[in-house]
Amino acid sequence: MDALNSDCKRMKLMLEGTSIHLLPERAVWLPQMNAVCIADTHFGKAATFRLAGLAVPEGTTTAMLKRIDKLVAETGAETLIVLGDFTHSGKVAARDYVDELVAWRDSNMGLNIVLVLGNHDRHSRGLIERLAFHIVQEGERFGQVELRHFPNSTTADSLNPQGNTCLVLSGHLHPGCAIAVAPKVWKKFPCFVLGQTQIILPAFGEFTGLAQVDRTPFQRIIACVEDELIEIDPV
Amino acid sequence: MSDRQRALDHVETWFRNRGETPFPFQRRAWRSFLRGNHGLVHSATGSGKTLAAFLGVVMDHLSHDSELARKSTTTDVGDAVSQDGFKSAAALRKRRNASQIRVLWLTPLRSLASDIEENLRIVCNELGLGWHVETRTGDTPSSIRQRQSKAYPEVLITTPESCSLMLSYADTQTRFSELKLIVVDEWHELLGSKRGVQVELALARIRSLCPNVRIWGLSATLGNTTEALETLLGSDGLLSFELIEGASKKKLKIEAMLPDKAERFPWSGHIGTQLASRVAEIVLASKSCLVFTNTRAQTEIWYRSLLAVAPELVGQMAAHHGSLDQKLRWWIEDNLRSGKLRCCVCTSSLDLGVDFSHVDQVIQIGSPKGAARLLQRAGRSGHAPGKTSKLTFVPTNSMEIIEYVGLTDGIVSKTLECRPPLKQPIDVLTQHCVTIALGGGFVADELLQEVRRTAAYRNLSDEQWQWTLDFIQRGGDSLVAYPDFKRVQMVDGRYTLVDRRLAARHRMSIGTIVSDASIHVQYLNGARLGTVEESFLAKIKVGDKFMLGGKTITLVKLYDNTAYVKRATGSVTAIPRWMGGRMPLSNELSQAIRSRLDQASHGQLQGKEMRWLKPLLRAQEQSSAIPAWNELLVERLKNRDGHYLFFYPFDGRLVHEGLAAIIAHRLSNIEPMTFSLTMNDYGFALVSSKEVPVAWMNHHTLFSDKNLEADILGSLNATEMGKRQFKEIARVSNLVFQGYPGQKKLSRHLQASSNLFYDVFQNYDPGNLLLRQAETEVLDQQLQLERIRNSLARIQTSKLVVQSLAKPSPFSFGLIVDRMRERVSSESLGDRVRQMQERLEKDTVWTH
Repeated sequence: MDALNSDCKRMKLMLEGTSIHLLPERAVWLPQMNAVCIADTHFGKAATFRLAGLAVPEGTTTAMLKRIDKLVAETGAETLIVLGDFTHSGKVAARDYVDELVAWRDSNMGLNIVLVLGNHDRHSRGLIERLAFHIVQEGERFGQVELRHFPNSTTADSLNPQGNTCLVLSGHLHPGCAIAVAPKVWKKFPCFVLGQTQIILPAFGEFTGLAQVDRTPFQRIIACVEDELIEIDPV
Repeated sequence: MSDRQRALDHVETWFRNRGETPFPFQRRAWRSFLRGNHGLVHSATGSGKTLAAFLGVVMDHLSHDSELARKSTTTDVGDAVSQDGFKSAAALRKRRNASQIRVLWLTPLRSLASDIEENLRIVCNELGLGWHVETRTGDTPSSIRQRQSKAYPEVLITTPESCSLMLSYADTQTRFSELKLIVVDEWHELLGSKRGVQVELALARIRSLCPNVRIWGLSATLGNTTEALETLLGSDGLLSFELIEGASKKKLKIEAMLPDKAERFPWSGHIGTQLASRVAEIVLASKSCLVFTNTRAQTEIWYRSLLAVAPELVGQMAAHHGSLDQKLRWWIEDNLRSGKLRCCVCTSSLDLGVDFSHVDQVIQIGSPKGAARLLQRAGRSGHAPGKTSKLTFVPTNSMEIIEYVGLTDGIVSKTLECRPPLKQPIDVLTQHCVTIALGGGFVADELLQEVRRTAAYRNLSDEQWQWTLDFIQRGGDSLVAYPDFKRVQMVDGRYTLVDRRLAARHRMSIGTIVSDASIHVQYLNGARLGTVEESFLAKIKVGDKFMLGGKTITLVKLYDNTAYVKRATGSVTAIPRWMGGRMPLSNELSQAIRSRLDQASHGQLQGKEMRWLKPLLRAQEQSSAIPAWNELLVERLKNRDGHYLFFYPFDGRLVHEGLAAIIAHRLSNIEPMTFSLTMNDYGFALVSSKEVPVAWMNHHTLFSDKNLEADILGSLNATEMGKRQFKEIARVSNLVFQGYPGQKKLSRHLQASSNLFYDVFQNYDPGNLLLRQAETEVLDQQLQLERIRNSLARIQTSKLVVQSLAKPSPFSFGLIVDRMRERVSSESLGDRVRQMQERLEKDTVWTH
């Protein structure tokens, strides 16, 4: 494990001619496009659990919206890109978080929000329409980048970089990695997975799980540890 | 002749016809039951507890039903009356439309149920009761369960989980309307666990439904019988009860297998298999033999080593532990019962009362860490009243011989281990409240009264109760009421659960108090082998070979909670290790060991085992000291690794873990320094790169109990420990539902790990009592705060004996090896330790 030499708060990269900053807030900043990008917020997950009789406290929606606001304010972004799974489950219309989302959107109509529909968004088209998002298709090119919810196969990505001529941003996986925080004590953290031409973003949502990623020689793994980015040593 | 006398005679005649006489304690138990008492029968394994508990209610039934019979048959006299009377009584019962449960028999293990069922059925048939005896556990097919809920058997054998499940149905009251007796079998196994608390709550419930029911517990070998009885019956002062002490004079032959020579420098875990050929001799000389090990991994290792030295055992020997598939275990148990298996290597999975009458020898590998467990295991041989139990103890290092001596001291002086019951776990209470809400609903005040009658919750505060109600109704307390949450609802003033999906999920989760995240292992053709823990499989790659149930297998693929394997040959890459393998030294044993060392420090070595240990003890005395009763030995040593500080409180690994962390924390408060910690059952070591001055060895400050809790929480990774503990709490309180191994999970969008719940509670509802519970459980159970406190208090009044060592002493040797073990692979460890031993032996001239 090696802390980045430069500024731990953000990591600046150049991939396929696009300048990218990874942020420890589990987001990507694209300065050339003046856009900030996040993935897998899973709004309404806690509410869905509550409806099903599983006690999850309230507050995750508010906290997440505040984090988005802060992110947009600090970067000065004009566009927010969401790489799918903005909502968790649309089947149950839990009032509290829907109202909160609508009120939040009413207050920031100036912000352009672009969404790639994820597998979880299938059932909440109505809500997403109300929020006036700009919907793009899976794999659609947006400015200098290609937006996906489902990542390209990692081996294909790392071994055959031909075909893609632009950077792919994707989500869906909720990548996480374990770091020893004390002898024999391992803790999981969300992380970015960097391939040759693709970046898989960590889940932005709070009440979302992590899927441990295997390290391959062609990937870099950068963990979000509180307000710092830490690169995990390659295998 | 009174009806009661006639019933007694009938039972006594039955005993005579079997060629037996009832034991005095059995007669005492029957009389006590007939007087209307509750009670606890405390008696050695295999001494006849089952009949002591069962026949009282039988006599009661006989005396009442013969009365019925006499009214219908007026002409008969004498013996003929009773014989005939019972027959017509049986007929009378048959004429009734539906039978009712009369006896509810709770047993901790499903595997025991079938055994008890068989025994009780024979008794019922031979006594001509016409009673049906049936089992209802998680393994019972649903067709039989359906039939049972239409026509109940008179005697129902079940587990705590299935009993709670019965309470979740609205017809509970009618089911139990004729209930006369509840027997809680192996109460010592349940006591001190959450399942025990689950039983306490269920008993309180059933007693409210049928106030005349009597509760009898059965317990083997336990130190705190009075507490066990009080816990079973709850804090209701009105009950009349009796503690029946059984025939403790079960003949017992225990001996230790002493290796040819005591090593002066013992380290754990290696001697064992060197003695395999001597163990095999004993196995071959016995009719049927159980070999107990302490861990599932040891079971696999010993199974292999015994086969290697005695190939003739192929096909007559099996390995048995809790991670094997149920069917496989049943097969092994059946063949042990019928005497077809010569030998079975097993863990605590065979500790409990299944009756293997052919077993005439028990071998215990490694210290059982407590006298009660030793007795329990010895009792697995000669498992019938009047027979002799034989146990041979096989040490895995020389120090374990001191433990063995301490254990036998405990057995002679009858200071057996206590099992302290748990105090008000909130997770079990929330589960119970939802169960009752489901089984017809409840009024808060009524249920509170009932819950407070249990020993576990007698001090439950109004606030805690209110929080529990809020949690199941609103998700959190009134300040953080969770919107849209619904589980239990208020219907007509009663807390009720109406949602059918929630009901189904709750019922499924009732059984999950004990199970942990485990992964099924099965052959590609579908045959199941057993389960391993997720953490083990995480380290296994496809193609790796490992052992399970004595079979070498290789991992083919991992898919959907199942590990697919195929048979393999050759050497194995790994042997699965399951959690919870390390049992800590019991408090009582720790005292016995210190007392034996005290004698040794005065030059007294009593018994052949202590004399066998003479070379080791002499070496300890020469290189350092043997601590007397009122002394705490501290050793200092400098070597390549750094500066070692050894402490020997002999309080068991768990306590040492806490003590080591506290001492390291306090030393580094004097001057910042870093320690690495190592501990075993006898002591602990702190290793640092800087030397700790002798002047700091002030036991009034180092071992003070001031700021104890803060120091513990500050020194250990308490948050991470709390998270791990929260896993079980989240499962019991039905936040996460993992499903049974092999079964499909619930809809995926409702899956979240207990870790996520922990974090989200921590951030948005820090007052959640389940979080507090995790913290308390870490302090009380994992770290054993109370024992740490006692240990500190003792050390405060002891004299510190600080010895500076030139070379490792025998006591310190095991700790040094344990520290090495963390850094080198196991193969090279053996070689390195042998080199160290040789060097130490060569460099020193020992006087004998």
